Amino acid sequence: MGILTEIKDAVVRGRVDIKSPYPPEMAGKPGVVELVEQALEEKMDISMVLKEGLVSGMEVVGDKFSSGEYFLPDMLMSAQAMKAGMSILDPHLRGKSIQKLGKVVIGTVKGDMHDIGKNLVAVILEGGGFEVIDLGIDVSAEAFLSNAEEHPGSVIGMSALLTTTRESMRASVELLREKGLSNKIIVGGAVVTQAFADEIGADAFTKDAAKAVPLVKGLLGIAS
Amino acid sequence: MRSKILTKRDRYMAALRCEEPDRVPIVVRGVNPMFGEAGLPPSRHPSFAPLIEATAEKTEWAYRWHPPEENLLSSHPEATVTVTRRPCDQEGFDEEVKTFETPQGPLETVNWVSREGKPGMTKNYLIETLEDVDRFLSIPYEFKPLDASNFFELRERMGQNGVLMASIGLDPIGHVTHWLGLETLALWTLVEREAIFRLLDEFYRRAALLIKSFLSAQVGPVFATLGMEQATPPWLSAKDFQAYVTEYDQRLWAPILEEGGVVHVHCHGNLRDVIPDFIGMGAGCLHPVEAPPMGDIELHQAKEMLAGKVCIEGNMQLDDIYSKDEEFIRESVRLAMRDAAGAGGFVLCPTASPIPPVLEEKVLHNYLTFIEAGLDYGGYT
Repeated sequence: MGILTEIKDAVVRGRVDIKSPYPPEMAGKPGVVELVEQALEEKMDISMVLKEGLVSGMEVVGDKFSSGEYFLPDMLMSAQAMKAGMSILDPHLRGKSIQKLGKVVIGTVKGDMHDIGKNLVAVILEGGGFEVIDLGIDVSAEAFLSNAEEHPGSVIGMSALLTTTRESMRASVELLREKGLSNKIIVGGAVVTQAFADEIGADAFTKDAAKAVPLVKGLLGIAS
Repeated sequence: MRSKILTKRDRYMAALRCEEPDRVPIVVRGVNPMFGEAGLPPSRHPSFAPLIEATAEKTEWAYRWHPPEENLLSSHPEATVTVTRRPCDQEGFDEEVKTFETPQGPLETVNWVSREGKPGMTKNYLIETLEDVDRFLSIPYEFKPLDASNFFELRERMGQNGVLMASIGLDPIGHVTHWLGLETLALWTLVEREAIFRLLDEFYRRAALLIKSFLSAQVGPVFATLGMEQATPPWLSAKDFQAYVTEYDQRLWAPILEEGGVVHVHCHGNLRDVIPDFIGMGAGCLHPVEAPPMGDIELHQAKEMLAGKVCIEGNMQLDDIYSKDEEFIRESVRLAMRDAAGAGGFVLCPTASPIPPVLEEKVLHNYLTFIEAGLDYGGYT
């Protein structure tokens, strides 16, 4: 198995590093940390390590979550493995010609304090090659607006878990539209449906975090 | 012949026992005319008055009585918890710090608490490491004998209007998740299962004491519980649900069932794969049984699986009450009756309690429509 395939496999199986107890059947075997370090020592192309190793692994994880084979623990462990790999790659990415695919400003809407889903989406988008600006929770329409203005061309991601905060999502989308901003808007969260996304004028909706990368790529016209 | 009109209490009890009453009971979850009484939640904003009035007159009352011991914290004199509040950066919220003294050092949890009654959030969970588990379990536990006199007073005053449930509160996995947080719980299911089981064992022991005292005091016969929704798919697998929920709750509820009691379960999420577990555990009533996208099972499918075994209480999406129009509400109620009312064992109910502190006019209208449609379509002929 080539090193890129090994990295991808380690992400899929949520193996962070050699000391990690998970998964037990991989005890003593290298994780994403060691494998990415090895790839760098071997002077492998960094963009290949990122795309064919880490990102490719998270895509498989997303598919497994969508199909019901993986659950939240598997998803979180893989996200940890990917983040560990990213933290090693990051210093090498700086100053390189590798461009991020795009920028996503993300936050949970005003009045809503839930962030697990939003955090998962942020990790997956980062792993998918996007720069993510995480505004956190309880984000006002004005904060979405100012960040959309500050980052022209960025995709704005809004999350809501509570029925009652869907109206905050509507207000945020409306404000961006009123001000004539052309940023694409993607919405998600437990209480959001395609019908609601259409109703408030969002550009895209996803029910699960795993679909975020292809959806944002589609919004930005990037071939998958 | 079913000409006899039942009392609200008998109607609701018949449905809970999977029998066919004279009409489908209607419960407006989270709204009741006895709010503010000791053991019941505080009263609601004046905008709720017309809904409370309609609920009192036309629906079955189903309230959960919460004893002080419900949170299963220790009453031991050395088990002190200090609570402080301070302003925080989050507009409209205070930061509430709870410090638990333990023989192995203090434990602290930080919550953002709304000053306007909005949902808050936990900023730092009480248990974040294995050392925290040891600290928590080192707190000497003492169960305070239950004073149930208030339950009987309230039940007396409720009369035939409905059923006063004795709340067990969170089940063991609900307590563990409350102190651990869902993310840590999820990760620990992969790497620290033993720690989860240690905590589950302890909360099972405490909850069993509470149930024993309930039964000794002869409160009941309906007992309400919740918390296992944190362990339903897609959060955890059905296999993990069995390990963390079924194994514990089945044993926990057994004494209630032996006494002829009914366990009323509130559990959101994807239930399709764990409905057999609920049947096996002996759940008497399952609320809210949500259809996609919030859940993963249509009402008629749930009815096929649960008919004659577990009463369904549901499943009018709260979201729809807040966002749809009168026609939609009426049609949803009609379809719910069509899909789930047959042969009894069904209670019409929204999927959740109202969340915003103030009830807007449109939402009030939809709630009233929901009740009227329930009366129109809910008769057994």
